[in-house]
This record gives sequence, structure tokens and C-alpha cells, in this order.
Amino acid sequence: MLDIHLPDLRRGSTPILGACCLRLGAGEILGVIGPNGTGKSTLLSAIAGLGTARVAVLAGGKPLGRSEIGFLPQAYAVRSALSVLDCVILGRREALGLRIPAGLVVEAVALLEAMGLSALADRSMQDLSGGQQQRVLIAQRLFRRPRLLLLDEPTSALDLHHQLEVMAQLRLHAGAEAMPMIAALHDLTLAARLCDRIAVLSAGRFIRIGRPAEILTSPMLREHWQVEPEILSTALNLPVIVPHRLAAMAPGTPAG
Amino acid sequence: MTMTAPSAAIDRWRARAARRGAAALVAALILSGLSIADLMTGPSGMSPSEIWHTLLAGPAGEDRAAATILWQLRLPQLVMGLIVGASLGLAGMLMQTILANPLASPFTLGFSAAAGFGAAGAILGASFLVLPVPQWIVTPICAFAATLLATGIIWLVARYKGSGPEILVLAGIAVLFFFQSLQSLLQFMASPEVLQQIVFWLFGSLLKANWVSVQVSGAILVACLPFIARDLWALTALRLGEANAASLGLDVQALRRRSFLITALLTAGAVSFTGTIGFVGLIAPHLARSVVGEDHRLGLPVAALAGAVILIAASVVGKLLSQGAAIPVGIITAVAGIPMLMAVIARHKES
Repeated sequence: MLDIHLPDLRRGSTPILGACCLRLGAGEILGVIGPNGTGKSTLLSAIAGLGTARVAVLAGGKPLGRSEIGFLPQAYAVRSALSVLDCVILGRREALGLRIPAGLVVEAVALLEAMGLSALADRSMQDLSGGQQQRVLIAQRLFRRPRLLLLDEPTSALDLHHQLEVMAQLRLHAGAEAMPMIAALHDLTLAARLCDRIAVLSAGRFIRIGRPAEILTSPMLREHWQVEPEILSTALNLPVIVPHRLAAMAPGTPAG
Repeated sequence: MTMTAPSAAIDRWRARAARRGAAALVAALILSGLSIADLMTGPSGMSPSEIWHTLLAGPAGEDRAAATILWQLRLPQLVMGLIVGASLGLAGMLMQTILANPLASPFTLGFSAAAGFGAAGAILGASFLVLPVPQWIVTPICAFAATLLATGIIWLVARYKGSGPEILVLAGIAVLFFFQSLQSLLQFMASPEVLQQIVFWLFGSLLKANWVSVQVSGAILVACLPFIARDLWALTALRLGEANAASLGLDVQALRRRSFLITALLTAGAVSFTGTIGFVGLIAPHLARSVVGEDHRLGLPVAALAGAVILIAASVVGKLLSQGAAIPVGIITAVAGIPMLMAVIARHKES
């Protein structure tokens, strides 16, 4: 059980995120969804301890240190000649001395293998595509084995095949290491498939939190995303959201 | 995927580590060869066997002339060259890593301009005042103090405005122009004879070296090493970007501030006695990375080796080109550095 207590977050005098408490079960994956600019990235970096706010992350009542919380920021271009394997090994930088323990290398190679990345092990990070870099950086965070993993748009650069592969790995590690995760996501269908619960963030406040099927409803999408969706129910019992057209504005609502 | 794939990846990884270790050894061998060549060159030629015997006989050897040339001139100059080259190579690598900028060097933040101002002030001051200590001690002390002053200014800016690369570079540029202007003012005020001394100091040269300068610069270098060694992995992690390093639990701002202080000390220790020696700190890190990659465990030592290689090679060339009076190494590295810099830029554009 993991509890996160966030105070009010402000940038200057502008409030950007309201105070809130989140409770995550062991190995639970929580999706955070919401329109652009509602504070998803701010929330994650605050929990990661990178902001100025005092955020308490408690595991069984005991606070977690910054190095026990893993954080994958939004995808950015890595310009480094370090190899993929070196990059993953760096995930456990605290365990590295003048020599790299041999067991660590074996473990890192096994993880690359499991994530379908072993063919890239020798390649330079800067020579990889954006999607490949994103998968390597996810592997690095998984290799780190944090007590809580925060992922900001972990599948933004990935094709369908690798979206599924990464989701399967996240699910596997969340379960095997009882590691809760919080993922900010834009793709709602993907969020429904990956997450145990979904929290909706709108204008810096959590509106609702619950099972994907309870959350991803037409009224919710109409109100907060201003789209008229078609929500298909599939044989997998997962909602598939097809954005259909922009929602008609209620009279008196300012456009934009 | 076959079952052998993981072990193949490990073997390839090990093989590359071994290749890089071998490359570092080759760099050390090249440096040894150049060092011997440096001892053998000079206005009064000495044969290898003569050098060997004089070395064995020690500073108090029977052949007074040979002992003086070797033990009081060539040897301290060589050791000073090794220390200065290594210091500038390390400082350059640290600068390029913390500023995430391939064109950064130990002089990017204006340390050399500050040292030049301090030295010019000392030389000009000594022409008015009679000091109880010799000039060759006063000048480096003032150069060192001025560098620390520049460091203090940048430190204060970083303290209040954050230690991002942009802030550090902007503060560094301000410091650079500030001290350069002051130095120009001193040069303008100086008499022709004093001006000549100032200009001679500004040409970095190993001719100013003696055993005292070797001890002081060497002590600074050795004192900095444990602090650099502590951050090897943190610096390597920073190569993957600030966001990545921060999310691995690193305090990137503190790492930058620490590393820039070490850079300032190494640079001040190197240039205070010898004067400004350009391009070594810019080129050596590129040589190191192209040979052993970005892992700072090998990258930093090889940058130090590469810095020493460049400087000692410049020293040998300077002595061979002008038999009578050796051309200062600072001039050689500046002239040879321009094509090297062009090569770095060309290589960078491709990637």
C-alpha cells in the first residue's frame, strides 16, 4: 500500500494543481488522463520530487526517498553515444563502482531480451529512433526497480506492436515486484487496456477516479474533452473510444 | 531469438570494454614516447645515453652542466607539461559534460581571462612597487586569486539563478568580457617594457616551469582527483540528458556546481604558472570520447592523457621548430588547434 499526499501546487501565484491524496495498491497501475495543460506532467514530476513542493510518498507509513521513485519524463531526444546496454545498466548507478558487477550485466541483457531490445544492445543511443529510445529508457527505469514508477506518456512514440509489448512488460514488472505505477496517458483506449484504475484530471483537480469502464463514458468525454465519442464495447470487455466529432458547445460557453 | 543471444551480447560488451582499455594503454604509451622525445630536445642537444646517465646520476651529478639542463630545465618543464595537459584535459571533459556542449572548454567560463588579468596586474604592480618576494611567485598567486574571484562571481549567479547550462554560460561570458576589458586597460597603462612582459606571460609557455610550480600545480591536480572519482557515474548519467539524470535520483544542479568548482581549481592550477594554453581542454575530451566513448571511468583518464599528449607534442614541436628559443606551447596549440576544432565541428554536424 502506497499513499501520496500532495499539497497545493502553484507557479508564482497561479494555482496549477489542487491538494490531493492518492492511494495505490501493490502492483496497481493508475492511469492519469485529462485534456492538454491540466497538470498531468506537473503532477508526476512533483511526485518524483523534482518540483519545489513537499510531496509525501509513504509506503506502509514510511516515506520513500527520491531515489526510490522512478520517473520517466516525456519523450525527448537523447544525444549520447552511450550504448543501449550501458544506458540500461546506468539505471542502477548506485550499485556501480569502478567495476560493473558481472551479475548486473547479465540481468540487464536478460531484460533487453525480454523487451525485444537485445538486437540493439550495442547501438549508440543517439542512433536510435524516438520510439527505440523510449523503449530503452523504459527498460532503464524497470531495471532500476523503484518502489513507485511514474511514467509520462510512456507509449507516445511507439507503434502498435511495441505499445502492446511495453504494456505487457509494465504489467509483468508491476505484478512481479509489487511495484505500483502511475502513467499519464492521452490514448484513452490504451489507458483502459493498461490501467487498473483511471483518474481524470481537469484544470488541476481530480474529477473522478475508478475502473476504466466506469470512467470512460460519453458524458465524461463530452464535458472534459469536448468531443462526441463513440464508445464501443468489445469482446475483451474493454472500452474502445472512437472520437467522432467535436461536441456542440452549450449556449453561452465561450469557444476555445 | 536464439538462446545464445544474451551471452553473445555480453561477449560483445566485454570485448568492447577490453578494446577501450587497450586504447587507453596505447594513449599512455604514446605519452611515454613523447615524454622521452621531450627530454631529448632542447637548444643544447643531449644524446639519449647522456640523458640516461644524467638521470641516473641525480640532480647532484658530476657533469654540472648536463645535470642543470636536465634536472633544472627539461625535467620540470616536462612534468609541468604533463600536469598542465592532464588538468586541462580533465577540466575540458568536465565542462563539456556539465554544460552539455561539445564546444565548451576550461576557458568557456572566463577563467583564463581572469588569470590573465591577475598576472597582468601583478606584472604591472611589480614595476611600481618593490616586493619582498620574487616576481615569479607573485604573478601566479595573483593569477590564481583572480581566477578564484571569477569563480566566486559565477558561483553567486548560479546560487541565485540556478545552475542550468544557459545561466552558467551567460555568467561565464560576462566574466570573460569583464576581465578581458580590465586586462586591456592594464596593458594600455603599462610601459612598453612591462607590456612586453605581460604579453609574454599571456603566451602560455612551459619555460616558466620549475620544481615549485610542479609541486603546486601537481598538488592541486592530485587534490581534485578523489572528488572527480566520486562523480564518475553521475557524470556519465548526465550524458543521457538532465531529465534522465534527475530521474535517476541525481541532484543535477549540485553536480554542476561541484564540477565547475573543480574545473576552476584545475584550470587555475594549470594556467597560473604557465599562462593561457588554449585548445588543449577543448580538443582532448573529443579525442577521449572518440577512442573510449562516454563512460567517464575511462573517458576522464583518457582525456587527461590526451591533454598531456597534445601539450608535450606541442612542446617538442616548439623546440624543434626554433632551435634557439623554443616557441611557446600556447602558440603551437592555438595554431594546431584551429584545424582540430574544424574537425570536431565537421564530425559533430554529421551526427
